[in-house]
Amino acid sequence: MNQPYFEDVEPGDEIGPLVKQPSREEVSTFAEVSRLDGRFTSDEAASDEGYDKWIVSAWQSMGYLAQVVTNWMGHEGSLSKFQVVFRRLVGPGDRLECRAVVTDKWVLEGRNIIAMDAFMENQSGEHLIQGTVEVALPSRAPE
Amino acid sequence: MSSGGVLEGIEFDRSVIGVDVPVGSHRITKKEIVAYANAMGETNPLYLDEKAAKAGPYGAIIAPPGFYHSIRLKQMPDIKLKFGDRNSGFISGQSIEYFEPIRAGDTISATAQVADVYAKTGRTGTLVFVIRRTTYTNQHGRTVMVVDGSTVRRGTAV
Repeated sequence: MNQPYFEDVEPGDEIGPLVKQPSREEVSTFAEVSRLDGRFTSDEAASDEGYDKWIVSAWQSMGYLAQVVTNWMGHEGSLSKFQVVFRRLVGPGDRLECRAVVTDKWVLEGRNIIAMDAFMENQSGEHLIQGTVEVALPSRAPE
Repeated sequence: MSSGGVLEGIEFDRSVIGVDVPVGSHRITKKEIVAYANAMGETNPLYLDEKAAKAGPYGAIIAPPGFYHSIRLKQMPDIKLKFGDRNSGFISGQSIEYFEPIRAGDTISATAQVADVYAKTGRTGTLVFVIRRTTYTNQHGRTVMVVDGSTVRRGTAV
């Protein structure tokens, strides 16, 4: 994993994409690990709850979006803020593309903060999740 | 805190708003973190490889950012909202501030409150939003994260 440094990152830099296509088995496994039931476990259960189809949980989807950032920020980077809005339902088998774009950078109380917009879209180009992220990165400058 | 406006006439228990209640504590195991990370298709060794994680900046396996959701907690505060039907509710957003990672072996305690309730009315009817704030603290008494989770209940369009 490459380590990005604060000085090397600029607004407009693009991160990703991270592409996920969660299978029914993967959605089931996540639901089991997270102790989710109902609409997150089968078409039948989703139908019983009034949904058209089996649903990938919001936590699984937002976890994928976080992953595009945490994969990029390296071991010395740390996520400090993550804010998401869920716009559309996600189903098993959907092709999910996660991206982020750097919007700003600043130093606050000795921390080197990178701000980003992040989003997930599906195979139809629909935005499923939109969010903002702040990450603290190490500096190349000596302490 | 929002109040009044289009919330007038919508029945819910206002007394719980802003009141922090303990919702449990849980000792986080390496097994739980690794299972969660694998279910998410993570490859980051900080979540999966104990040897690499020990040599890393945190000295132990840490949890991915979304792991908090899988921590077993008691029932969140309930405003007993009487609006729409039960199946019309869904998660609309999450806002998370991270202060330090959750490490394998940590005992995480949580408190929760209903931080806000507000309504919006549009073309499809009225939506009622409930914001629940959960604060996670480790065994050292340090806050590791604060999560504002938003759920929305849809009424019937007139």
